Amino acid sequence: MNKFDKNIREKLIDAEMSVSDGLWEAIEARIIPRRDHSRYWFFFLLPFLFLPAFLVYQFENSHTLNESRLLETLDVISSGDAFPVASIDNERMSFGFSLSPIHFSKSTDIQSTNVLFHTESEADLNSSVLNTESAINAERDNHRNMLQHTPVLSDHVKSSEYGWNTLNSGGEFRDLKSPSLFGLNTGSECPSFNIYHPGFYLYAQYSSDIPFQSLNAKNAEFIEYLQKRRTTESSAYSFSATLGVGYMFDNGIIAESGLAVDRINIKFHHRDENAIKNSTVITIDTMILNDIDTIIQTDTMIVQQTGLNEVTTYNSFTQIDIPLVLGYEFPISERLRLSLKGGVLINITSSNKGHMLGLNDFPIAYGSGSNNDNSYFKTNIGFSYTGGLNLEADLNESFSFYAGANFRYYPNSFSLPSNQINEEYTKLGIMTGIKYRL
Amino acid sequence: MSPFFLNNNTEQELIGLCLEGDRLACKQLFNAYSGKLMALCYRFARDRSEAEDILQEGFVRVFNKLHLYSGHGSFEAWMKRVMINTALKYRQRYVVKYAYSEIGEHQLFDNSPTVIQEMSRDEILKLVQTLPDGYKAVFNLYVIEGYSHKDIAELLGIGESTSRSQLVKARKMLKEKLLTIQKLAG
Repeated sequence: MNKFDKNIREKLIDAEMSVSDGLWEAIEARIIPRRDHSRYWFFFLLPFLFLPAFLVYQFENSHTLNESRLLETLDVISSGDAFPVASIDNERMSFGFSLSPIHFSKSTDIQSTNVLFHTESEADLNSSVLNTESAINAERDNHRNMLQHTPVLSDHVKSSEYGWNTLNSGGEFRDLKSPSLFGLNTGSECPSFNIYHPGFYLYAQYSSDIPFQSLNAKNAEFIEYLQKRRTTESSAYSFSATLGVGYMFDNGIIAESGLAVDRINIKFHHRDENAIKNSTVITIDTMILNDIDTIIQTDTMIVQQTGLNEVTTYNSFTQIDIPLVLGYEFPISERLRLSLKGGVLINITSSNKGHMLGLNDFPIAYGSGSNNDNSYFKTNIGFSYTGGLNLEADLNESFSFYAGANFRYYPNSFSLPSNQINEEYTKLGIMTGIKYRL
Repeated sequence: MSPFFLNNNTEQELIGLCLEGDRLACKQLFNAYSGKLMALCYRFARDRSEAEDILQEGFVRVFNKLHLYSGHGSFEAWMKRVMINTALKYRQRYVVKYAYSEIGEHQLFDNSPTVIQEMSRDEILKLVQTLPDGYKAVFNLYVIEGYSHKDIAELLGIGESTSRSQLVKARKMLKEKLLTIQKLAG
């Protein structure tokens, strides 16, 4: 930089000029208020707010054995398909399977019963069974009614007078030889106590989503238009809901289908500071002359007004789909599972409604209710992919609740082939759902 | 140095308030910097009206993109960059091409620095402002804003050599004008 440059720089570097009055007001009117995302996060976090409460509830109630479950277990035993281990004394009666005995309170009918056997491990179990088989036989005569009629035992156990508690949960027991016990024919092997719930179930789920829009021009001459259009559209809270039926196989694999409703919302905002509005003004003058003649004069004129015109709408794309989903459940505990799902959604119909920036920089309406019904977007978008990871917890024998993250990817453009702009979407969301096992 | 702010809010505090949507804080920032940035815009514009258009557009960008300011480095420098980009885009948008005119070789007096010293700030500002768009952009960026020829070349989409030659020609033109002023005064 030479001396000439330095002299000019010194003069101009800190130069200031006054600005016209009203300039700030013009700027202020164009400042876009920053979107408050907190309300969206609330929707996303809502499922997770409930989850800890639910888990606490589950923990608090984990020591209470479900009545139907115990009776079911007893039925299995009474049918001879299981190998029960019991400990009956004056204080309590233990009843369970190898490592995980279930203890429940005594019944008056068995109060005087001596200890038959009590085991804590599979090895102990086998030896205990052998050692106590003779004792069992000896007791048989004294307890004939109880031993020969298992329902009597069940009746005592489920007596509301005493109730029962479980000290530990059940497990999986295979290949245990089942000796004759209590006079029951227990020739078969122990059943596998599966923590899955094989069979059909109904499910309902809701997902709070945020869509990601991708606009691409097919032709380079539309790039400038595309840049302008991008400034007018932004993501808005979206959702999807599904009702369906699923089947769980006993190996943890799940298959689901049903009916899904999916909504993508996009906020459209356009601002035209030099909008021209034409108003037709009709003036009717009635003149009465000499109380006799009446003259009516009608004038019509068009008044043109220039001003600020802002258009803000929420564009919507609604899809109805049939989901075809496969998944797998990873057991975490007896009541908690992690499920990984993925599949396709076959679109039945797609509708749209909203505004977008036209090539002349003015908003144009499309979809239902506009003059351009479905001129720009497809009425069927084909198929889309979905996937997700959920944490599922049993509420009881029939219901379970799940929550997790999911995505949906639409590989096909929503716009018609004649449209010069490809419009594609991907959604991320937080899902909650409930299952009812049939 | 940052300008003096009302009610003793620091610049960072004002930026934080602006990000929260506080319009009063935005106005304070505008009041603090509008004079200096108006002069900057004026140097790139053809007239005062155009400079105000650029300033308005630039401030709208500043406030709408405020979240992109990292907080590191001078806020004033960041705003200046936004204004310069706005000014250059404005010129590209409304003036199809920069007018690069050829200037004949003239004998130049080397007493121009003395003349500059005697001239007021507004007079020099107006003098620079009379330069053709292309010269004006290069001269402002290089001499006043301290950009390198490489940066100018990238910013304007021209070659570095073009930037250098435009600067030389801008200097010549300014010196010519100063010579004319000196003759008229003398």
